[in-house]
Amino acid sequence: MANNAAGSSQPAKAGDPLAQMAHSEAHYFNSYNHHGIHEEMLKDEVRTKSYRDAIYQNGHLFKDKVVLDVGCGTSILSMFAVRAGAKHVIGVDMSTIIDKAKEIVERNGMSDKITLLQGKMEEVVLPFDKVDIIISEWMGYFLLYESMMDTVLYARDKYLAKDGLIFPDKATIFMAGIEDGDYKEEKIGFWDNVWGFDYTPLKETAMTEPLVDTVDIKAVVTDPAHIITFDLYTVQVKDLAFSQEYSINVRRSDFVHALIAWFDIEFSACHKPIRFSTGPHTKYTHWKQTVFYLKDVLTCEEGETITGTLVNKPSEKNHRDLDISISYKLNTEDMHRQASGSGVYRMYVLNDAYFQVSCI
Amino acid sequence: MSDTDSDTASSVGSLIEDASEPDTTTFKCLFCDKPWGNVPEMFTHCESEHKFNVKAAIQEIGSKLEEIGVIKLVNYLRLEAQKGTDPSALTVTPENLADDKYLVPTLEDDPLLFELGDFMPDSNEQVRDYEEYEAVLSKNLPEDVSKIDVSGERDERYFDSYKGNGIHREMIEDRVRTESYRDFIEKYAHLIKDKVVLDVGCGTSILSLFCARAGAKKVFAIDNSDIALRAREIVKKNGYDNVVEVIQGRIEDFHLQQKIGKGNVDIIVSEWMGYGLLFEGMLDSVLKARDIYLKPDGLMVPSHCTLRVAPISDKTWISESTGENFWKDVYGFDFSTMIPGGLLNDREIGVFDVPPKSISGSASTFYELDLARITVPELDFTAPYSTTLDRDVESLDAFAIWFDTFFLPHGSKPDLSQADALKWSANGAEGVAMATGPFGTATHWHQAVLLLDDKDRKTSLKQGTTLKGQITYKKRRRDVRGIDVDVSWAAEGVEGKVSRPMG
Repeated sequence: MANNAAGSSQPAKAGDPLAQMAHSEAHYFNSYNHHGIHEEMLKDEVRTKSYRDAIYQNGHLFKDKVVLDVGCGTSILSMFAVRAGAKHVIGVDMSTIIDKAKEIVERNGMSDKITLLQGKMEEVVLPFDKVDIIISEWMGYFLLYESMMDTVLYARDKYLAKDGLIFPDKATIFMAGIEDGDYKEEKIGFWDNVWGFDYTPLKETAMTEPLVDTVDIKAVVTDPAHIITFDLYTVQVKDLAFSQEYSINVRRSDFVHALIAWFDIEFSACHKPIRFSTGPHTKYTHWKQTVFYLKDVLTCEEGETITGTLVNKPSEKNHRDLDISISYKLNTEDMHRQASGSGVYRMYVLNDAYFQVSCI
Repeated sequence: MSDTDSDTASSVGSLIEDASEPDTTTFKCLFCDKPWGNVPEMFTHCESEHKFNVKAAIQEIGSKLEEIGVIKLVNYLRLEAQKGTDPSALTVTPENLADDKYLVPTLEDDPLLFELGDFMPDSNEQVRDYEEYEAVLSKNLPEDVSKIDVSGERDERYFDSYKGNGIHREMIEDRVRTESYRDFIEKYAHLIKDKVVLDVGCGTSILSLFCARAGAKKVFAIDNSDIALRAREIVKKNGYDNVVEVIQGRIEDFHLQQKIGKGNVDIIVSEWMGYGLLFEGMLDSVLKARDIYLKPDGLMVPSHCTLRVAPISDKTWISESTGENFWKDVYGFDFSTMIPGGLLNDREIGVFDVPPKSISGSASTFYELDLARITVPELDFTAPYSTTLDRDVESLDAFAIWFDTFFLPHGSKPDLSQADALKWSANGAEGVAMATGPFGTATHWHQAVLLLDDKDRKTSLKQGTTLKGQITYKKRRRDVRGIDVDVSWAAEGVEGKVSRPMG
């Protein structure tokens, strides 16, 4: 998650689940800068160990190099880089967590190797004109929600030396279809009867809110479909608005209530390429999966396909918010089961007023 | 946990490439030049020819140093072989692999380095690439698809989501809360029937709808936010738009006063309680509404609240919640400057569902709010409490603060100084009581926890010790939502004070 990182103006989302932790019930008043969010991210072993392995197993790439850690948080990636032999690491983060990072770096005897700067990437002055390697953990939910990729691209264009490396350098979004009848009924159908009252005006809002959640592999009915791959060496900020056609193969005859999306991350500069997935088929990550409920229930037979287009657009008001639209069509010979439609979704940071009201 | 967690799962990608390339890889023996087609054969050869058990060494080192150590091990063995060291004389320990020079591959493009994950101890059930996605998919295919349980674990997490509706739903779904209001309104419908009701901060209007259904003559549902638009739709949809009038605005707005009329309301219903009862300062608006609109003999719903406190002594729970164990060793680095820095810390009040076993003394009611009478200045207060430890404790670690809420009919003058909402109805008392303490059903309010400073967490105390002290609630001047809470305590031989902000 890209919270608390350089360039991120909005801090951690309130109530972000600290899943799998004993105190997952906990909430906090000042959700930013408190340590829980950092603990959650560090405890996400898939995330942290992938970065660690990518760095440690490539000491030959890091040795005597100047490294920039974009959105360094508690500086764990910076310290990995030092331990892998980097000559110097510059960590940049907007958040006051940088003060803690300084203490941590000192305690681990790396103060002479790591320079930590608080501020926006666009504004800080680096002690080096160029860097050999950029490391960053910039990914948000659905890869791009609240993501810091634009900050990484800025750093790349301004600081990365010719033939410099980016860790990680590839990010791919996938989609699949899931059977989710009970839960859709519970989540969306909930509004049909609230203590005996009809709350359907809120149903429409519920449909436009993608759900960030862990999806059981048992619920997955289709193959994964590749949507888009971002190559961090070449991608431009404008590419974050995209429209991609997709085609999903149905693997078992079942209902499809929702499409889910997740992403894979690859460190391809590695001696031995390292990648990790945030899909439903593998270990839990704090990114989970993103669920988009469909207006229709698709009744699919094995071997059929669901095709459509996924359009993603950073919101005009806040470019870290996303406007997403998904069209879908079940391709079947059976006239009675043919279905198509489209949905519009918004992944927005909750504004304060709305939150306060809800607490009334 | 093996170190193969990363570099494992991927969704599609590489497989296709992998499959298209014929496998011509050979693995050079660790000690001689002999090439082998696969790793197990080579290991067998090492053991029989060179008297060195590679698998055992990997298990040994892997359990201590993870995969990175095993990579070093291979490079170390190859280096030693180049030096001519007798393999059977080699003993491998983490210490002699400490040097990072062993990270440099001894053989260029040594394919063995890529295969070590399979030999790691506890190689866990990881999904690799697409074939494994498939395999997992098929393995988990239930025979009867209709029996798939897709809820379970998710239910718990859903309500933590960050989205708009999610929050409203959490509020509505907080059954303890909503059912307490509903129970009172239904049980005492005769008090509501034909009356004029004001719902302060109506949100999606659920409380207004309860009142309308109970026969209220008129309900004014007030909210200052855009949710009022939604509330209006919902009211209409349920056919109560002739009873419930949703008005967007602030309680003191002139147009509200004109519409509702001063002193014209029989009942004020509001769900205004925040963390630690008073965080968010919503009560101020409710009291303002009371003073403007409520008839002299009007009813407040709820009618009373009590604030309660109890000591916490539980080093394990505290260290889990402060992240203490975690920060000491983060992937080999010392992060202890982050302690206490979990969700529980010494800088601000946190909210938790405190495990009942962590509570080490009696709950003490330290403040009572009679909502028909209390005034805004009285929301800043200092009040005494007294609690008796119910066991010997290693130390006093923290205080938990929560509130009980009472819905009582007109004119009730209850003695709430000893009341426990959980036991209220069992005693046949009138009205409805709602508990948010550690011993009842969890609510979205949880409990407010003040962690003591380290220096104050050192004195052991005997069962039966009575701690007496004072609790202060004080609104922050420039931030109406935030409050500061102080708790002092004293018993024979100990005393102290903790001050923490909330919000």
